[in-house]
Amino acid sequence: MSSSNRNEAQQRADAIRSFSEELERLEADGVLRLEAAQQAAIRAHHQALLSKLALDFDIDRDAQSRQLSLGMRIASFLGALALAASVFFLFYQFWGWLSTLAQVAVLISAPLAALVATLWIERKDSSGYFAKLAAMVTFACFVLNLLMLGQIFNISPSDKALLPWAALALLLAYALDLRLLLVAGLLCLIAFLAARVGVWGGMYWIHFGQRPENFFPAAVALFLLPLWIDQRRFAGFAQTYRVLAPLTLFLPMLVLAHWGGGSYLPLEAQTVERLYQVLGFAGSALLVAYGVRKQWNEVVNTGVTLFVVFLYTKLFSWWWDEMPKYLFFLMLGLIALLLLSVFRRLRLLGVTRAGAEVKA
Amino acid sequence: MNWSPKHSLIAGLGLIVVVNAIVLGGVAYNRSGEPESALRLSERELVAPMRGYGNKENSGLPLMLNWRVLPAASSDSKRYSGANALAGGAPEWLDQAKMRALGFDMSVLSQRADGAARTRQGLARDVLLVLELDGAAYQTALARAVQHSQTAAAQEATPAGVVLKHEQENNSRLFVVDAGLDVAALRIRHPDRSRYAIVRGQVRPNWSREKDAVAPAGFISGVSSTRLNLPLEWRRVLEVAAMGRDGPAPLRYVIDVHFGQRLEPWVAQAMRVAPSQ
Repeated sequence: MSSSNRNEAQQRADAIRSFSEELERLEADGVLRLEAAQQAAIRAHHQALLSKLALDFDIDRDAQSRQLSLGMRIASFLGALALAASVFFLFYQFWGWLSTLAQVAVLISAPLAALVATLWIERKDSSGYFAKLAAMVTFACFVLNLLMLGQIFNISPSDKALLPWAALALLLAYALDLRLLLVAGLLCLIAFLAARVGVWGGMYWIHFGQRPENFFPAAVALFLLPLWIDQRRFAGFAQTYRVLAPLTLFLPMLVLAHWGGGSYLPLEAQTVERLYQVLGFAGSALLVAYGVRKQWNEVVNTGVTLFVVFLYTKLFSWWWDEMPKYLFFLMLGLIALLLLSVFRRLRLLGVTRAGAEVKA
Repeated sequence: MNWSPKHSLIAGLGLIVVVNAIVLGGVAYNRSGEPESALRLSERELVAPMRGYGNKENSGLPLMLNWRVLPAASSDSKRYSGANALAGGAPEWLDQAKMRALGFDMSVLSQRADGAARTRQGLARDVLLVLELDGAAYQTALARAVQHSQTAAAQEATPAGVVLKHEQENNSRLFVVDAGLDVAALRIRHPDRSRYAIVRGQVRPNWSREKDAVAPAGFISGVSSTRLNLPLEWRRVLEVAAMGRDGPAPLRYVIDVHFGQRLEPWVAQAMRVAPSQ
């Protein structure tokens, strides 16, 4: 199998390391013993493959380089944030002393130059860290570009700026396999869709958060988007969609479960709250079941977290004022134990079923 | 087709160029032809920013458009207010009938007065607002200030003449006097383009409380583009004002503000005025 991107190359390298470790254990247990010639051939093949993958994709060949990579990723993230903030403050410091023409020229040329630099760095830097950092700066320059044009020309604030920001963030995210910009792009897209729904509902766009149901179409779009665009080539992208989509659906539900007055539904506020409490509990439980079935850990974890948040906020509104504090926290602890035993039972059921399938 | 870095570069460059072209095209369209309206504002209506912790590193000079509303006349003369309405305001003319004309469904609001109804129905909408400069609304405010200053009860609260002097010399003369959904219809009602500017703003349903009576009405929650950027060529006029207001005499200036085809404003000219004028 040839690897076409860094993600696949890293997966292949990890598989080789796991294979070597397991082979050593099998030989130690006396289960399998390869001929010396076979061992040498496998070792030579793997060494050649790892060297090629390291050369082409700058993969982590061992645990130590993996730890160093994590450090580089954190440094790259912090550096990107700092550089983006620096771009903002640099412009703010001097823009008042530039003519309008110079302001516009600087604002437009900054993201163009940053984009060219990003893709040039990407060709030179096999690790990808510097290119990703440059991509973040490009996005910051483009945000600054539109924001400041609005200020310079006194343009009425508009939600439409969110769309090109989302487009550039997603373009860079997919071009450079950059999950942070994927999240930024999707958040812009969520805000834009919610604002549009609000405008169609008759409200001024900036108040879109005052009707949490405005977020529901964006949640549906996030569920559907990965079905339409294959995410397998991009590390962690599918997981990002699978976490963001339920959050976009259930967090507004959580708000409505406690603030029925914010709903479009022509019902009494209390009825709306009860409706969203039921939907929140049932929906997050279904999400857990769906995640278990699909073996998507991130979906299971998100579902469990949402279920617990729904449960605890409900318990808070029922009991906080009624119970002594020690009793309230005791009840929370007991409920946590109950949930633990339920999940343990579910886990055992899964193990038993898997065992039965192996026997069959 | 395989997506290559070259494709990303072309798509990214194209996106940035096209979006900027759309934005600048909109600006050019707004400023094309005769301005929709042109007001000559003073330091009373366009306030220079104070330099502080929040903006000391911002070299730009955004002027704040200081607009007001004329609330219903109060029988309590102590309640006179010459304050601006940057946080919004409820003018007397924005009653239930006017709100209905603006497309608001006031029926739920009128059925319940418990606050919950306000939450359900109280979202702001984008409408057109009419700003009047030094017109009938300001004259009414001035008359109320005179009345207020003559009232003994009010003089106990503030020294005699201070409120009136402030209204005559310092308070903004720019009032929101009308709202609508159609520029042409508003322009027929307010034809003087040097006194009335039509701008975008937001209105939401609200309960008006006067004495013990509660009635559904409207509330102007904001005017779009209340921050006007002062370009470099006019900056010298306001430099002293921007640095602080500790000088011997308050800085006076007039600024011609034009409102274009998209009702967005810009500074066309700025001039210093001698303190005695």
